[in-house]
Amino acid sequence: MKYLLAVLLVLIAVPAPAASLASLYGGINGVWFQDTEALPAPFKADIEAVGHGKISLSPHLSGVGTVAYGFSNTYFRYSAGGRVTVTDTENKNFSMGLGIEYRGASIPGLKPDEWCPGAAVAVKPWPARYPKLIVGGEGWYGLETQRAGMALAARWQFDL
Amino acid sequence: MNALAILSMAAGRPAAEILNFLERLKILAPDMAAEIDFWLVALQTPLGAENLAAIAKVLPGEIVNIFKGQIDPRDHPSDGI
Repeated sequence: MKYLLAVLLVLIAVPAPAASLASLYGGINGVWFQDTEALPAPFKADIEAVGHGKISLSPHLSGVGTVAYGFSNTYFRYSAGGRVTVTDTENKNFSMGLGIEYRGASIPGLKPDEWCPGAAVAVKPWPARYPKLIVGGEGWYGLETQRAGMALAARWQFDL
Repeated sequence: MNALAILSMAAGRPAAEILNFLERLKILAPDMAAEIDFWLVALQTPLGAENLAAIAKVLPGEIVNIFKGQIDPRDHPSDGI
């Protein structure tokens, strides 16, 4: 984790270009976690309030980070990592990214913190009328716990 | 390989279940039918091996450019999720 933070600090120190480099997002998730000993249901679901950020460094490479609060199970969850965009990089309205993120949480049922490869797909459903609105989905798989998770998301974008 | 297959593997749920969910959502929310149809097509569009190979070919150059401070950002909706 300390290496990831060091990389992010180096990236933040790089001079920003004229184009928008970073964005912040606010929104909600519907999230499902695969079963654990602490979470007996086959999939444990929750609604989360989400703060998310991204740094786009090249046409295909981005850094992303998320903090989320789960209302039903009263937890905080975070993730940070990198993504590679595998769809048309010039399409501003639809994209898919593959990547790996370090994920952690504040409650035992969602621990241990671990690295998770995953995929995210998103679209701007009304790019002309609401260009800052994004809806999409994300799935991940814990390398240590071998537990999967999935989220359906709605976001509002704030350019920095 | 398509986006649906990757999402299915990552979530640990069958692809057919995800498609069935979207089809049911279309019936429950007919005003969203157009957007859901878009997703049904987008998720099942093949990710060609040629496309992935082309991306793998340009990534080293992009990494070098980043470390040179040559930042070239893009606006990807999936980076917001």
